Amino acid sequence: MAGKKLWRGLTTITGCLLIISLVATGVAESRASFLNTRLGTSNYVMTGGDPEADSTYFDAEFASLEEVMAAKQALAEEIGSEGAVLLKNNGALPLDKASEKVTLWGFNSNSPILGGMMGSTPVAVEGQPSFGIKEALAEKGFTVNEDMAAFYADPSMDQFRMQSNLFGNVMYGHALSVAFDATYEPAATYFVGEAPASLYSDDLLASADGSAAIVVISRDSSEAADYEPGMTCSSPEDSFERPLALSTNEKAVIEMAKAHSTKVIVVINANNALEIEELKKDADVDAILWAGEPGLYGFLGLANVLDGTVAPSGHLPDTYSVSSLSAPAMVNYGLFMYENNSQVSTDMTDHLHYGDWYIAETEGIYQGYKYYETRYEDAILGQGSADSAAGSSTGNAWNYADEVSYPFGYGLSYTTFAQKLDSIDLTVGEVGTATVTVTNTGNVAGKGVAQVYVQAPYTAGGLEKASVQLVNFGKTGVLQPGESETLTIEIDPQYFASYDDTLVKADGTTGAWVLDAGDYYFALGNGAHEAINNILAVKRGSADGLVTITDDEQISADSVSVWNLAETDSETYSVNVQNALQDMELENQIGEAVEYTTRSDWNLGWTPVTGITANEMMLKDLRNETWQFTENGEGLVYGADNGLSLIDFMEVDENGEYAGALDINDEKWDKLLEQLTLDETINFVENGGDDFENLDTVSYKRTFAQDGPVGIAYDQVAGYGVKWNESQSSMPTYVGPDNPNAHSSMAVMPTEPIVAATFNQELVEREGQLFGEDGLWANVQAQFAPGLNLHRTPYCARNHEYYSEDAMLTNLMGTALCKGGLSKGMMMEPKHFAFNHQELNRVGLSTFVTEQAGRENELRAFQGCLSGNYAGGLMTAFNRAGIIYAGAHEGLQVQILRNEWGYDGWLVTDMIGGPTYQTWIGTVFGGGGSCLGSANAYSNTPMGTMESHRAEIEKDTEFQAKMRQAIKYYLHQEVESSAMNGVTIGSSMKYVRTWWQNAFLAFEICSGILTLLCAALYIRSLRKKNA
Amino acid sequence: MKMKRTIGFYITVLAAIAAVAGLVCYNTAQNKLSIVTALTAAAIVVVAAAIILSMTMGFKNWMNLTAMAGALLMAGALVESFTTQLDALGYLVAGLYTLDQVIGFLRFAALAAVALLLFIIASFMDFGKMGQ
Repeated sequence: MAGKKLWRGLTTITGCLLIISLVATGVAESRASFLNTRLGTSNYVMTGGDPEADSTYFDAEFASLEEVMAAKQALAEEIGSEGAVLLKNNGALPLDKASEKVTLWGFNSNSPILGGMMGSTPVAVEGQPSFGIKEALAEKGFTVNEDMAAFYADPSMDQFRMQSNLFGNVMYGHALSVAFDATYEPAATYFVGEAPASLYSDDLLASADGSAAIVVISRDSSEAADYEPGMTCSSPEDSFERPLALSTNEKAVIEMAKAHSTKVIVVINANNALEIEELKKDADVDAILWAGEPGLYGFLGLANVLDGTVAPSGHLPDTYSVSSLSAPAMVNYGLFMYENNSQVSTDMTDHLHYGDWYIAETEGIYQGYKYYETRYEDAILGQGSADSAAGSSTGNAWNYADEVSYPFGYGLSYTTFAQKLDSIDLTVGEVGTATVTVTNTGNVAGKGVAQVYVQAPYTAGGLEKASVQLVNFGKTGVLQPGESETLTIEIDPQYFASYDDTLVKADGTTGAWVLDAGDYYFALGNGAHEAINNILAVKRGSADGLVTITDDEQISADSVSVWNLAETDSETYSVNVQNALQDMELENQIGEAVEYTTRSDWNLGWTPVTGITANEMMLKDLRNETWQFTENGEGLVYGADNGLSLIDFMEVDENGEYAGALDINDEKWDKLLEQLTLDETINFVENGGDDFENLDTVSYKRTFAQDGPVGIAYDQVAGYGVKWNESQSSMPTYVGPDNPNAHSSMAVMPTEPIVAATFNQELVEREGQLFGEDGLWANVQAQFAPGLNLHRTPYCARNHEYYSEDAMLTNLMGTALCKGGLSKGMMMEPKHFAFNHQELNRVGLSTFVTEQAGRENELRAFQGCLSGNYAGGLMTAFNRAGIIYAGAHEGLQVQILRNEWGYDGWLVTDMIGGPTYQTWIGTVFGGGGSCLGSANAYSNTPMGTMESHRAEIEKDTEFQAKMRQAIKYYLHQEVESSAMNGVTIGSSMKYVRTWWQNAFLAFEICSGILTLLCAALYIRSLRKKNA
Repeated sequence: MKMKRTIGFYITVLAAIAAVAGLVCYNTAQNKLSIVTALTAAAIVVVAAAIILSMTMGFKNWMNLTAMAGALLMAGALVESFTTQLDALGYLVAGLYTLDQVIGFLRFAALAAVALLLFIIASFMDFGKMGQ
């Protein structure tokens, strides 16, 4: 009896183990890519090929990982030096570190912001150097007041220190609260992290006497977070008017510094433009230096500027306005909900359709300096009611001097420069040049930046045009006093054409790029304001009445050159162009007029767009019900045996050297794609994005794609060695587990605004090269960088991942970075395409812009790297473009990206956080590529997985064709990337089982055998009993 | 002849009660799978059927397999339930999800594990005996 029960119980246990092992094996197989990455295994090994052939198509520049890391540190320091922007200097800088002791003031001097809390997060692992401002000054030989430093470092002061709780970890130096889910209330508070003056003892204050004060003012950054104008200060005993204004305690620290130092230098450690007019006007604040968020090593560069080793040469990538609320963009920023949102109505079904919120960007093209400088010109010229009180920060007549502290592009040096615009050589349809001679007229060596702006002819009531826009810039080498350098700067007329969405072209399509006939004023300037003043001086024949807001501003006719276009051109840059974003214009959706900012009347555009009710037409799209399968065509060929593999699409030149990929339009690609199975195709589209392994039929080699703009993200890769497996140990850049730097972080570089502030395209291209170098040493072939969205307002806390408020600065820096990465076989994948301007409810936010503004601002920022095909991939945005998910918007992804720009890289969505909204069906039909999701992202959604719609897919040839095209774009880029390193003619990928798969199988077999054995013994025991 | 209830019977019933409670919790979970609901319900039905039949037919030897059947069904339900929850659990660990978003599943998993354990224990015992 006891035996019978025992065997029955054991049969139960082994039977349960068998069931568990069978199901667990299935789950593990579906997550094979994930497990292989974590365990360093692979299901594919490369076999065959020619072992004697040189299969390294992208060579590493360096001989060791140590050299790569040292090069990155050196470049980061250089960016920190060249990106630091000197805004004010009453002779306080540079410091003489041999004789001047320094006191660092402010709690954030102890833990300054190096980058984002999330997104572009610099990470240093144990043993990897990292430099806050204190560490950097010590490294560069400064003598720092240790008493004050100890006070700020004292753990008993933690209650005053900026800190946030992220994923259960306390993060000092950050205070923003992230919100990934749907949000119906904006963040209410912000913790500045500055202690009240009462905490400073007399002895402590006395320790600073006789030293130079460096006061650190910080604001942090993060993905999934925003600043809100209505925030209140949650720091103990502190307050502020707005989170981007100085707090009471910060002002008190500055006052204490003034009272106990020989000079006061304020360092702005923030990527969001702060309100610092009071610092500018305060005669006792001797210097202001903007440092941004400079990554692990950028403060070393700041130290070089502080001691004069390097003269500052950075220029602001954003306008520093007196009030952070003054731009028209701020009128429509934040939380706006449809009247029939899911909280109050069943129209939206539920919030998981992510259709509740919208933003109407009614400022049009007038973002950032394009607003301030354009309204300024109109105020000078007395047109458009520009001097009305509407939008004025003071409530009085609008006056530029009341509105702007420091203009876009502004920056000082320790020396001075004279610049002369020697010539403009320009023909429509061709890339022309501006020749600029820069002369160091001061006493100290330094680099000068020549910024070239243009004013296009404007007719009141005609196309909206900014008074001035940046077209390009150049930077000299280090010029000694008296030395000159002549820069030749490319000027591309397509980038100052205006978009007219009403113009009907000869071919009958509507929408065109227009260069109006008339005079184009090209001007140099230390920023946009000096440029427009130079232009106005020439146009008016006098500088009288012009407003200057900095003492150093020089108005010079030598800085202006006039180029005349005899006839309006609306054809040259309009080939294949037609309106594609009309659905993004709010009035086209709601059928009612919307008030926009306009030069013809600056009284307009100051009303928030509220009370929008989504109508039936809109609801269909907001509920993501736009796309349906149809039965069409006869299906595509799958599983063909055409004998091709991906290596066959590599081109070689006359010397046998690797020369890229076969032209994407060659029919041979179609033959390759016919080899794919429908299963592979579906899997690639539905589960793609960051780890591709399973395209057996084309002998595809596994690739990895990871974030982000400051380097390959540590939280995704965790070091150089993680993506390698032992079968690749013969690769020259292989990093094995015994390499001492196998777990070193690659996310070390300065954040994008400070990179932009260098105004040095060569430096940024070099950064791209080093990102590519990282890719070679880390076995990562694609990097989601750079971020190219614009700083629409100062309040988006993700501005640290984007370069600037200006389209051309972003365009040119993005292009430089991608060129650099491409040279090393890295598929750079800019993000987020397009119109991601705030993080609040970014998933599903309906974003309305005019087509003109969309094309001239945001899309122009992306255009350079994509139309030049320097970027291998492109990540789409979380938000809606109009009311269509951006990753499914055909106007963006097909008409503009492919038809107009000729981009042939691949597309990928952002992470599938809202699968009922970021649907695979919309992504494919809308011309997208892969969905960046896990194996089960869609399994429990109303729509379900692609496999559950297999029958419909098999009947919809158009859908299949789009999937195939998406894969074609990817494979083409793959062949142009370092993924092909190690692959030669005859190479093939052979499927092999990993040890963990064998372990699962062994467990299944053992539990099966044991179950059978126990069951047999149980039955035997029953028979014995019966007998 | 009536069945004499044994300790195994009562443990089996407790297991079924745990399974019922688990099923209630699973209904509140996100990313549910119908197979999980079906397997859990089947385990409950098997126990209920055995109880009812024991009351009408008296004890039968095959009723001793009730706990084994319940265990196998609960094992299937439990492990299958994880297939759609792995991402959510990862997000919870990473802090991207709050506990609220996975608590329904976690409660189910705990109760299903208890039910499984009780079924396994009961499988070492008889479900009942012939009554006198």
